[in-house]
Amino acid sequence: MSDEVILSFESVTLPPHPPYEAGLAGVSFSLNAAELMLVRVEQGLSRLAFADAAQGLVEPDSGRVMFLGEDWRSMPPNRAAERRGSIGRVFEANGWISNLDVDENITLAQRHHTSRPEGEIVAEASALAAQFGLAELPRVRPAVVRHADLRRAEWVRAFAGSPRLILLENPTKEASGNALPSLVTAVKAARGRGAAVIWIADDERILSKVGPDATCRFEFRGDGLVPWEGNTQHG
Amino acid sequence: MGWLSKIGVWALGKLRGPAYVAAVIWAVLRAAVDRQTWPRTVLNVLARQVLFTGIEATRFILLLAFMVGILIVVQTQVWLSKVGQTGLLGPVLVMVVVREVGPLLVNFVVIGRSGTAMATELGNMKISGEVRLLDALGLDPFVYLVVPRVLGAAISIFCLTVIFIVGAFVSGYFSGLLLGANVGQPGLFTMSVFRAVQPADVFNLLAKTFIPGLVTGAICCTEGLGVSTAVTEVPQATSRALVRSVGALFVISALVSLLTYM
Repeated sequence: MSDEVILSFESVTLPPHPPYEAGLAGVSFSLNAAELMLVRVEQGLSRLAFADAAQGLVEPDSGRVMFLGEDWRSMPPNRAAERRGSIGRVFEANGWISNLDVDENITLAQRHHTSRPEGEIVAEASALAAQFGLAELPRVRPAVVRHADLRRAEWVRAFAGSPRLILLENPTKEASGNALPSLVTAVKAARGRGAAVIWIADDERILSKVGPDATCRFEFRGDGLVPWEGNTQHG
Repeated sequence: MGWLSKIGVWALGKLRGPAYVAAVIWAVLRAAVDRQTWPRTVLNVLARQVLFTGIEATRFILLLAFMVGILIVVQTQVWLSKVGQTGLLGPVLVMVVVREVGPLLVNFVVIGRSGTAMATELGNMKISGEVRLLDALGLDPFVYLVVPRVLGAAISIFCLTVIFIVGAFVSGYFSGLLLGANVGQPGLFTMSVFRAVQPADVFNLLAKTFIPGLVTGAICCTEGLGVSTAVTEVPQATSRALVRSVGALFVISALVSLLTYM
């Protein structure tokens, strides 16, 4: 494992203000490059503040969230936006811009943050789509795509562009069961490249398939994020 | 609280809205001259905005221009013939179309057609979490949503006004011919029109197109993004954007006219 710290929470407290249903209370951990963190979510809990806090989209009441060694709060807006461009994320819900086609949605962040040629971005996305079992990138609005395909298209977006951190919020929700191995393979490959991965799920069976080699395990309960059995927390 | 302080509080309250819009426009203009603001995605949104607000409205603007040309020629022909000055048709067209009617009508069309669409689209995006999604993808919503829309509206209004003016002159010339006005040869008519245009008219045209365009864009974007939780807020925001944009248009047009011709 690399020593480079990708993400760290330092005594982060974030009350569950709307729109969040579950906050954070004094959470501390650090996640290095190539590490995998599993977060089991208690059934019925949704709208967690955790992923948004990791991306610096919401400021904690106390403590700090560091990404690649910098506190989100101390970054100027341009820099924070650029840094978020190096985070891949599968959203719990509402993961699409409705007036862009799915393929435009998938390539949006790459076209915005990089000067890579259009063809190269599309070729990478198409290869990932094939890996996840999509025949091609859907060139229609998200509203007319099957939910299962939309979920896999979200995986494509999350892994495109070699992100440094990948946040997966219930990524298998609405996806067909036979798609899981391809996602697990993609996670392994991303870790091999040095990406840190956080997999959040409410189904323990899925988490058990995902990461026997997970670096740390947490559990999201009504009272916040707490270490889960088998935790190897460090930092 | 004394009556003087009540007036002060009332006046400050009334100024808060315009001050906020002015701050947004200032931020847009500052962002517009920063090269970092213009990755291909934002340029794409700007192009789409100009396509929707400008190019797709061209046919309707031309139709309006032809109608306005005919209406003005009919009126001026009646009045100028009474004083034996039908040769003044060109300058009168400049006075009415370039200075007042052209910019005002085009702004109206853009507010009704694109301003309301902008407020509705952004309001729906906000409610459905798409603005937050952009933020999560590292796309600053101000840069991706507001800057190209505000600039696109201003550019489109200027271009549409120029098209409107040309259309109204062409229509005015031919209706003048049909009505027997002393419009002369096309070349002479064109020259009389150009001679009637003063430098102040150019300033007036720029001010009455770009400023209301920026203001309309800023009002519609801020109203749209100002919704918070319920879908029912969207039509209310759209309606507010429409009323405020029209109000701002009249105030700006009146101020520019006063500053230009007083």
